[in-house]
Amino acid sequence: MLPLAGLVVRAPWGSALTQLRSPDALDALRLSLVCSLSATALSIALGVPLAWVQARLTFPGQSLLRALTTLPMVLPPVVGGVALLLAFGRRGLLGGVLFDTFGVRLPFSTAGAILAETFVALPFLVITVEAGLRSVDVRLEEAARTLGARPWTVFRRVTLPLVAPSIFAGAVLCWSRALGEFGATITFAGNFPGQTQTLPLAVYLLLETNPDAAVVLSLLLVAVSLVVLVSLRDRYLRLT
Amino acid sequence: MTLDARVQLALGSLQLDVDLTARPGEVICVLGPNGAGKTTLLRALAGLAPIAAGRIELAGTVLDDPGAGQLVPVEDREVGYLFQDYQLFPHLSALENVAFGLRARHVRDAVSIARRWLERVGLGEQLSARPASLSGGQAQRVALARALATDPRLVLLDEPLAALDATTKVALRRELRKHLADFQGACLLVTHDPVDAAALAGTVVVLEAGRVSQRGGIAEITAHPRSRYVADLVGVNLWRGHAAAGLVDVEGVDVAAATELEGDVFARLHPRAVALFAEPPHGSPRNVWPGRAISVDAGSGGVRVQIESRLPIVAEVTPAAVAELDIAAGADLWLSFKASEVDVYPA
Repeated sequence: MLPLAGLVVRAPWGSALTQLRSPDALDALRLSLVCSLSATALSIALGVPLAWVQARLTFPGQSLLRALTTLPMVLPPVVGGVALLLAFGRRGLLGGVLFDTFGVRLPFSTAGAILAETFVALPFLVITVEAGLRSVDVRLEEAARTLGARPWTVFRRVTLPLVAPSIFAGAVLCWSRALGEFGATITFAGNFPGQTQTLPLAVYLLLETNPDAAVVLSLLLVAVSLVVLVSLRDRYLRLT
Repeated sequence: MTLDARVQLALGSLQLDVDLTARPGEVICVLGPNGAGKTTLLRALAGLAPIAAGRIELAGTVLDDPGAGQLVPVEDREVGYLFQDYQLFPHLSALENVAFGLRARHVRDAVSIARRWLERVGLGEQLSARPASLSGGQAQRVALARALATDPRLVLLDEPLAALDATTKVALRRELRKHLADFQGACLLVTHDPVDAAALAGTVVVLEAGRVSQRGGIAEITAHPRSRYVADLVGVNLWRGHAAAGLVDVEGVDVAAATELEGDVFARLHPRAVALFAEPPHGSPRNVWPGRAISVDAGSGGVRVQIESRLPIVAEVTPAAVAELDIAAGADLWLSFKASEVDVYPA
């Protein structure tokens, strides 16, 4: 509570709106929204199938896959950034091929920032959706099949509607984690204003040059996180 | 639309091995205790639990034949399935639940056909209701309409009346009878209630521990039980033994019976044919045994007294007799029954 109180007390309330409207802050805000929303979309695209595989199939190495999926949640984000560099950097395992074949350069680009945020935020979506899928009675899916529905129809008309609240909750959690991502982003994507400098990175930099702006942006991030937690707590997340 | 099936599969400790034929319009009741494999049998026929060996043929189409590598997936089987707890889709209205199978099979006018079905089962007013807001009886009707709406060749009903209260059960049993009479395909109905079997089925198959222990009409099955389970359902004493010269040897105990049969037999004795006495009785009955009452229960037909005697036996006597003889659990007594009351038939 005390750090929060510090933010609130020290906030330059008089000039808050002006600080938010400064070009640097607006740039960071816009970039943060683009990156975090893209990362959320990417996480849904990758995470829902991954959650389905983990919830519905049994195969050797499943617990290893589950551990790998959730690893970014406990890994220091900086380490994640280093790992991403080693995989997608110019001399990385895949990065070299990507660049030579397609001319795609991920590190130190907006796409890189999105990838870094996805890496860190994806597990939040996967575990939420997986839990949601496990709570869907498979006998409902069996009932749909006896009525003549093919697997894709079963998924679209039965599984998906029933698991939709979990996907929504997971996406919001994932988005708020992506919005606040710092370590992996700065390591893998760098800190270029307008390209990879998201809100948290801007806060870190502004602390040296314009502390008032840093406090205002921090409060903005706090407010977003609070709204997410309060709105999800009652409706979708069973935290108690 | 005949069903011809030999179902063999293992599931946990259950070894299911069942032979079954159902003609179009025929209702076969699968009666059995919990864990006998009734639901597994239905799941195998629906394709939800593929068989390990055997063959399932429906209306001339082979659905499952592991030996020939033939397996028709669940969604292509044209089998209607009413699940024990209905499994209605919670996010869809009653109407959409019934229309689901029609839509999945691309039937035109899916919604109007579904509406007609709901009207037919008396739910014309509940078209847009979600399953959570339906009563147990209404949910059962929706599930039945959903299973029948696609006009399947075979319909499987898993304990369709088990989850209902006594009053609703009587009404829905009558409705179900009517709908099944109109249904053209074959029907398999699983239950553990012999009343359902008597009211709904033409043929009864008794399934115990994965095997058919008896099959036939309900009258034949109740008249000549061939297992402890059926004897208990019907409420009669049943022994298995060896008959010779008017005596049935049951585990070393001779039961006098008026029979000319020889060899392995069942001996059935109705509890009402057993008389109880405080002192050794005199008179004509050839079976007179000492015993001790284990339990005394008031039943609908009289008071049922479980007795530990030369063989375990149940007697059914009037409340007056219980009072007069002062029978309570633990009381020593004598029992007798006539040889002519023992019904003996080949095992």
